Order: sequence, then structure tokens, then C-alpha cells
Amino acid sequence: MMPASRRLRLVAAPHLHGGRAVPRLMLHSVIALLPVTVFAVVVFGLAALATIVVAILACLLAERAFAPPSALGDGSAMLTGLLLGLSLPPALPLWMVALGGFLAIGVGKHLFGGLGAPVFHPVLVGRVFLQAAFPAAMAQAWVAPLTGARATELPATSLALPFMSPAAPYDGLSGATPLTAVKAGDTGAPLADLWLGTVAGSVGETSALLLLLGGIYLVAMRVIDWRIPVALLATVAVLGAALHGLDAERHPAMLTTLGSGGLMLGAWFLASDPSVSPMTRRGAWIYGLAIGALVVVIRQYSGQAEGVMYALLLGSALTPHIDRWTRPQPLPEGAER
Amino acid sequence: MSDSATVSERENGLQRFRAGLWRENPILIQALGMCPTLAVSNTAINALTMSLATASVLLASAIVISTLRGIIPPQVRLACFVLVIATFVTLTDMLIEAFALDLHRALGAFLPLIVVNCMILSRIEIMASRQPASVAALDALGMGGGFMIGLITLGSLREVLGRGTLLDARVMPADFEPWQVMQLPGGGFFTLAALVIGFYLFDRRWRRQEVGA
Amino acid sequence: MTDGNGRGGIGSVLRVQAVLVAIALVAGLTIATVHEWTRPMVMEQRGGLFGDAALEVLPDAVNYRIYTRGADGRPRLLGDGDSPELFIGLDARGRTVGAAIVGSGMGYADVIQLVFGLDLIAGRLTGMRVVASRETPGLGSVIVDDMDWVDSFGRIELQFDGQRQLQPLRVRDGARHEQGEVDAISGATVSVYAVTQIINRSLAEWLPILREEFAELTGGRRE
Repeated sequence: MMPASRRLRLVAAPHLHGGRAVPRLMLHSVIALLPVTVFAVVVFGLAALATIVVAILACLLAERAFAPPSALGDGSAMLTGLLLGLSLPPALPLWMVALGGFLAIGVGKHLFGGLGAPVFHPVLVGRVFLQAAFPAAMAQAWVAPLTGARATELPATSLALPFMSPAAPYDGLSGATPLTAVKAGDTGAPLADLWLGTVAGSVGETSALLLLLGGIYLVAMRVIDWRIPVALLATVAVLGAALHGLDAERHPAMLTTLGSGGLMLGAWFLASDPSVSPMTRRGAWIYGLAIGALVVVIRQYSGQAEGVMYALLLGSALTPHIDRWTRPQPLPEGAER
Repeated sequence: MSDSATVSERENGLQRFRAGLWRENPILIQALGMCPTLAVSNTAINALTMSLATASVLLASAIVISTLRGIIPPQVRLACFVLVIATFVTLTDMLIEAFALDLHRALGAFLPLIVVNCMILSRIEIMASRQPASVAALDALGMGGGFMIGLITLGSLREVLGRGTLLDARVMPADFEPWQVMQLPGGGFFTLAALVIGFYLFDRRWRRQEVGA
Repeated sequence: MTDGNGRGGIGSVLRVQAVLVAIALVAGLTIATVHEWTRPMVMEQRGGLFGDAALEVLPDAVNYRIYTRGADGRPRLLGDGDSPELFIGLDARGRTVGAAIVGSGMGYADVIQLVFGLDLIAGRLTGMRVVASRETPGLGSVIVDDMDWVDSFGRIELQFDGQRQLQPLRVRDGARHEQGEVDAISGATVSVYAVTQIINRSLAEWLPILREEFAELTGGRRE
């Protein structure tokens, strides 16, 4: 045998250690998310910064409480916190952000057995709890992009006392994200704003372009399996285009579908997490395809405006089954590859 | 019946009573009767009524079946059990509808469904159909009591977190943000899991102290 | 508990039958007795419940006339043994202020009975209350106890097309009440649709009758 190619292949056992360690993977992920994070702080100001910082702190605190101190060093809790912060609405009361972070690590990660063990992505566990517990806050805590006061003022709702409703109502004017606007029968945002990210939305989900760049960086660094996001986005694109072709009144255009909501964040940074995605290449295609189809179905045919979170959770639930269906067969003796 | 038999019968009964309340708690340990546990424990009053109705049906059925155990033919014992249980469930349903219509509306389909509560059938089959009425009654009281403890705790927690009230009285500050999920079945699962963990930890520490003492 | 010695024979079969029949008889008798005893109480509360609900869904009404429908489908004043189907709300001076209609239909678990108020002059609903249902507690039961949702019916405006034909209410997430839309509730999809369907059906059934028989409801004076 020649020395194997330097490509990292995610395949079933047996394995050789490739010298890659968890901290490096986490570092690459954080680097890939940096542009989006900076952009979010620029567009949404203090609100975004506070949300991200609080989410990270809550996750680190929970990691410290549930795991030995050495676990903090691998950076995985910090990445969880960063992703959670990026996936939440910017004006969400900060105590909710902290609660979500604590549950993401405590329940989503350590109840399932710690790093690498979770069946569902811890970030999504934290977020889905917040969505189920505080639906009103999660549906309204948006901030209009690029407001004048963003650098000096936190939204009043962010500073609600722990476990209390915010004294001031959520800023209703900036309420509609492009997806809720589409759901309500409007056209949504202009494509340029949508892809650039100067629209209302979760802290780090608005800039589809920067997320795409980050994703490509991860693929180039071989941190994630490119098949998953590609299969996912291609499915959404094809189904989205087909539905728009059938009934342009009811369904948004393909580029709107691709650029809006948490799709890019979910496809590149959440779906591809190795502990919740299938191990085999064939499995990765099936997994991406299933999530993509679910996203379109939930967005277009349910009462929900956004379906990425639920699609990802359902997809993760499929992972063990996909792994079993696509388990490589041992070659019979003497057989050629 | 001899004296010694009577004493052991009473002790046996008391032992069964205590077991039902704690060590064999139907909700927290045996995990029986989960359907009403999760469905109607969204408020303390619903949980109270539901568990009281279940406990009453259990007690009445246990006494009747234990009394009749000599004449019930083994071949049709399950039919007889279900007949007796169903009768008491129907009576309970009608009485609650007549005297507490609001509660009856809140509990809806789950009152008639007491008839298929597996905790009741298991106590009848395990205890009432083989033991004298006094033991069967104490066992039923213990299990019914344990069911009430579990369900009311669950209902109170879910009501306080999900609505900020307890028995419809405000216990949380006025601007407390209710956790909607606690009113949904998902919240029932979370809370039950948390309760079981808490019960387990508490029980383990308690036993350790008992051993140490 | 096994039939140890396996005595077969006609005698044992008869005994089994006799015990079963005896238990069933006692059970049946008990249930029938309690039923006879509680039924009047239940019916009394139920009859009163519809009336209470009618006053709640007609905010301006302090009293009402109760109607039922005769064999010809025309409304007539409630007699003995009739079930109420229509309440005409009256204010303190005896003027007609609206109609409350009793509707029923299949929900998720069992039949839902409800009362909704109607202001035909303004062309809108004035409220809705579910009077009897067995919807899943915590899920479908929101049609009874989610007061935000229940109260939103008081803001729903009926939609008519060019020919004065009523357009049915629609269920929608983030509903626009003034355009005849009912809020969807996740977890209670079936129950919410059931309530909406019941109202749509009752409206379609009653609207022509109301316009024909109760001119005062639409602004014209009959007396």
C-alpha cells in the first residue's frame, strides 16, 4: 500500500489517528464563524454582542458544573455557546439566553453522555426549549438592522429581570423577519439585503454570504463533510424552485428560500456536527436530503414560518437508522475492491 | 382466624400501605398510569381531582373484588375485574359531572379512561384478588396515596412554572414569564424526568443515612 | 389463580355465567340509579350553561329569548323538553342587541358544543364560548381556557362577497381577525379547526333564517 492520501475520510471503523484533535476542530469552527459574529455585532450592535457573550458564559459555566475542569480546554462548550448566541433573536431577554445555554450543555450535552455522545445537537436542544417555553418572546424579540442607537443602547427587553417578562413590549415595528413576512403573504426582503444580511433575524443567521464563506472554509480545512450541507442546500434549492414554479403566489423564489432564516447556519454549522450526523458517505447524502426536504415541507406547509430547527432535530433522530442502513459490508476474503 | 394471623394481616396491610406511598410509588418508581400522569397534570387542581378519582376507584374496586374473590371464577376473572372497575369509573364520572361541572370539563376524556389505568388493574390482580379485604384496602390506599403524591407534585410544579399560579392563586410575581412548555405534554415529560431523578437521589441519601444510623 | 383441577362440565360453565350475569346486573342497576339521580342536575347546569355563555358572547345583552327549531326548520320559542338553539339577546330596555347561536360538531376527542354571538348590523362576531368538550387537557383544551384565543373571536369580522354571500372563516397563523381569520394554535390544530368548522356551518345554516325571521337583527324594525 502506498501512503494513504492526505484526505480525511469519515468512514466506519477501523481508523488510524490522523493527528487531529478536538481543540483544533473547534478552533477552525470558531474561525469560520468569526466574520458572521463581527458582522452581527456591526448590524445589531450591543444586543447581538450581549446575546453572544451571555450564551458563551452560560455554556462555560454549565460545562464547569457538569464536567471535570479539563473539559473546558477543548473549546467545545465555547463553540456551543457561540452557535447558540448566533441562533437566537437579538432582543431576547438575556436571562432566557443564559437558561438556554445552561440547558444546552447540561441537558443537551451531559445528560446524553458528554462530548461526542449527544443524539441531538446541544445548541438545538437549548434553542428548542426556549422556543417551546417562551414562544412569544422567541417570535418577537427581533431588532431592526443598522439602527442609529445600536452601538450605545441595549433593547429594553434584553435587560428583563431573571424569570420576569420584560417591562417594555418587544419592538413591534421591526417584528417581521423575511420569513414571517413571506408567511403572511408579503414578498419579503430584497434579495441583496437578504444575502448580505441587513435584515431582521437571529443574531448570526442573517448574512447568508458570510455563512457560506465560513462553511467553505470548514470544508477546505476538512472539518466537516461537504456532502451534508451540499445535499441539504441542493434539496432545498430544487424543491424550493419547483414549488415556486408551480405556484409563485404561495411560494417564495428559490434564492429567497436559500438565503433566508437559519438555513445557512444550520446547514454548514449544525447539521454537519459529527456526533449528530451519519458516519458513512452514503448516509451523509441521505441525511442532507432528508433535512432539506423537511425544511421545505415545514416552511411551506405548516403554521411555522421557519422549519430549520425542527428539520435538524428530526434529521438527527434519523442518524442512527441511516448509519445502520448504510453500514459498509465487510468484503468477502479475496474479493477485490 | 387465629390471633397471630390477624396481627400479621394488619402488619402486612400497613407494610403494603407504606410501600405504595414511597418505595413502590406507582408514578415515580413503577411508572404506571403514565397517560393521565402526563396529560392532566398541567394544573394542581386537575391533578388533584384526577388522582383523587383514580384513588377512589382503586379503593372501591379493591374492596369489592377482595370481598368477591371467593366466588369469582378464575376463567373470567379479568372480565369481572374490568366490569367492577368500569362501574366505579362510570359512577365517578357521573358524580363529578353533576357536582363539579367545570372540573369535569377540564378533565375531559381522561375520567372515563381511568378504566384502563394499568395501576388499578395491577393492584387488583396482584393484591385484591388474593388478599383479605383489609389488606387489599390498605394496599389500595397506599397506592392511591402514592399516585396522588406523584400527580399533585407534578401538577403543582407545572402550574407554578407554566402559569405562575398554584391552585389558581398567584404565587409568582405579577410579571413572571410563564414557561409555556410546562403546560404542554413535553413539559410533563421534562418535569416527570426531573422528579424521578430527584426522588432517586433523595431516596439514595435517605437509605444511606438509615444504614449509617 | 388457575383453574387447578380443571373440572369441566355443564355445572361449572353455568356457574361462571351466573356470576358474570349477577355482577353485570348489579353494576348495571347501580349505574342506572346514579344516572337517574345525577341527570337532572347535569341537565340543569347544561341548560343554564348555554344561557350563561350566551350572555358572555353578547356583551350588551342582559337578558335573552330562547328559541329552538321546529320540524319545519323555523325557529320557535323554547318549550318544555326542547334544547336551546338560538338566543336573541336583549338589553336592559328590551331592545334586540344580537343573536347567540348554539353549534356543535365533532372535535378531536368528542363532540364540542359551543355558543357564539353575532352582530349582524356590524357584520361581525361578538364572542365565542365552548360549553362542552372533551378535548385533550393541555392541548386541545386551549379552546376552552386560552382566554386570549377565546376572546379573539369577539374581534372577528365576517367577510361577504359581492353577492352578500358569506365567506367562511379561515384558520391562520398570525390571523387578521378583521379579515375573518381565526388564530391557529400549535398543538391544538384539530380542535381549532373543529371550532372554526362548527361556526362556519352554523353561520351558513342560520344566516338566511335570521335575515328572514328576525329583521330587527339587521337593523330593520319588526315591531
